[in-house]
Amino acid sequence: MGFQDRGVGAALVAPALLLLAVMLLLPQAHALVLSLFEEGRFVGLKHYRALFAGADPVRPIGNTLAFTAASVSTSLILGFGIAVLLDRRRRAQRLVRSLAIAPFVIPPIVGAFSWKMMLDPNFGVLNYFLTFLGVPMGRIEWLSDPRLAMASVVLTDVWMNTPFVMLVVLAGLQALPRSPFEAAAIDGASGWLVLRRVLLPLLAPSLLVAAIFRTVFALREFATIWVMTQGGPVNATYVLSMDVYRPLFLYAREGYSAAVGFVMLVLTFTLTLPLMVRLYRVSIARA
Amino acid sequence: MTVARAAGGHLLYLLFFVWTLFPIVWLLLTSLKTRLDAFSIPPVWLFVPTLKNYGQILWISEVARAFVNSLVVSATSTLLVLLLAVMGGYAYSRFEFPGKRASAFVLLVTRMFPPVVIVPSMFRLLRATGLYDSLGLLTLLYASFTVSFSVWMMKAFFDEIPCHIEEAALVDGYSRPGAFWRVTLPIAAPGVVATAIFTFVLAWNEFLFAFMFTSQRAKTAPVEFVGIILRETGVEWHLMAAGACLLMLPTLALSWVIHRYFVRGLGLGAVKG
Repeated sequence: MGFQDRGVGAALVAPALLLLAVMLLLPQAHALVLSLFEEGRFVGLKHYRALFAGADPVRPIGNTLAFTAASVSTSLILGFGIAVLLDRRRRAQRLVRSLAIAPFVIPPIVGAFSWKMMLDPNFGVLNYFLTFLGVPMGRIEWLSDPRLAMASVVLTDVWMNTPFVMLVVLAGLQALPRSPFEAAAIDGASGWLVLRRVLLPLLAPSLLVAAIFRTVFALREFATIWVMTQGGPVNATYVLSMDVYRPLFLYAREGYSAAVGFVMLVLTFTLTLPLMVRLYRVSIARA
Repeated sequence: MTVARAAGGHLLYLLFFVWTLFPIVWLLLTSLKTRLDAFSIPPVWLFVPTLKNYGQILWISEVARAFVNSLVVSATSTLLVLLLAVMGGYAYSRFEFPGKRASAFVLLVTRMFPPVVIVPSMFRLLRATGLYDSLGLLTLLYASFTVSFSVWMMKAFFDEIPCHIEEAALVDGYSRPGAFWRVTLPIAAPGVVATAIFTFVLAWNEFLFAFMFTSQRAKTAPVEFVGIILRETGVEWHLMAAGACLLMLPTLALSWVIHRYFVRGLGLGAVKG
């Protein structure tokens, strides 16, 4: 299918590729070189060692992985549950598609601000509700207690991204064949059995896509956490993207900063390459 | 039994709606309150709404100019991306050319780049060249981080238009570019609009690059807003909420227009197969 004049096609995609090469691939290659140097001297893997095995009590990798694992798994479970609940409720679905995607589309900093306001220990509406409901916990310092801060930013991130998971799963649900469910119903399978043996396997591709996209964005999270805690208290929410920012802007440690960025890139690709290959097969190889 | 189950289901999704929408409604309510009401505990639910906060926030430091900056950067990068995406999407959909598969894969892969990764490399270069804190630079950055998914999205829209429509136009005596302008592009118009809106919203919402690469002149609305929140000299929730609403309303309105294209826009071809 398609036209065969090779020059035209190549010329049409060239500007987009040029932009990517100049703004993205070149700086990336440069960053890789930078990460091996310190003040003009070659230092090998020193910065990488500092990130992985530094004596520093700050653990950006640990924090990032904890944040990612908690946020991704919770939003997947919630989003999946709601999507299944909404399947076959057409009217509710329309409402959800138009309204409930709001947390996902508004600027993340706005969502983060709203939650910061609600989580305020003195004037926040959440502590008020808890007292109102008779929860005997008193004044909870959601964001300034190092033991709670991570949970609070995860809560906010889950709120923002659950609609995304839900949309993906809903799309997956709609593409499902009906016959396996009818067969299961005829065989008298219980709801739980249908869920585990029929629904989950059939939905696996959608769930995988949602999980991978969520992971990619959770790994690079910056704005939400910055607004809520700026990485504090006592670095409890200090994640990798902040470890690119802070050493660079405060201490001009270009090399270390570049190394952290490169680790983020490697983490991202390790987790998404299978999906990329699959997407590529589906949409290009077929064309 | 079934009645109870249906009621349970209703209750669950009512709960879901409250959980999802409450923070946004709360923000809107706070933006319409006076300072006193905004900080009252127990919270005030019934009050005389005021739009004063909206007028006031625009006069705080450089908020108004930051909004203009945001608008300029988002609009310019959207136009640029749209041009590249229509060209690229059309090429990937219709043409065979050397390097097609390889470059398409590169395009896909660059979508996954964490933006922060290029910051260390860009930082010194920008300082040295005077490109730091400029709207032009932000425009290029936003364009480069949205172009791959936009090309992809436009390709999907062009794929849906059968080739024989164009071939028929050629038979009718249109030139190749003529067939594209007069026949294909008008059919793809909804796709162009959807792609434009996606790109605009992503640029409007962007925080990281604007935060790291601007300081004065080119500050965007999100950066100015976060600056105000974090300054914390006399917390003014009612004003900040008004600022937050001004930031969020364009995105909400635009997303509502294209909510039908959402799953596709997220590049989930893999789901639909």
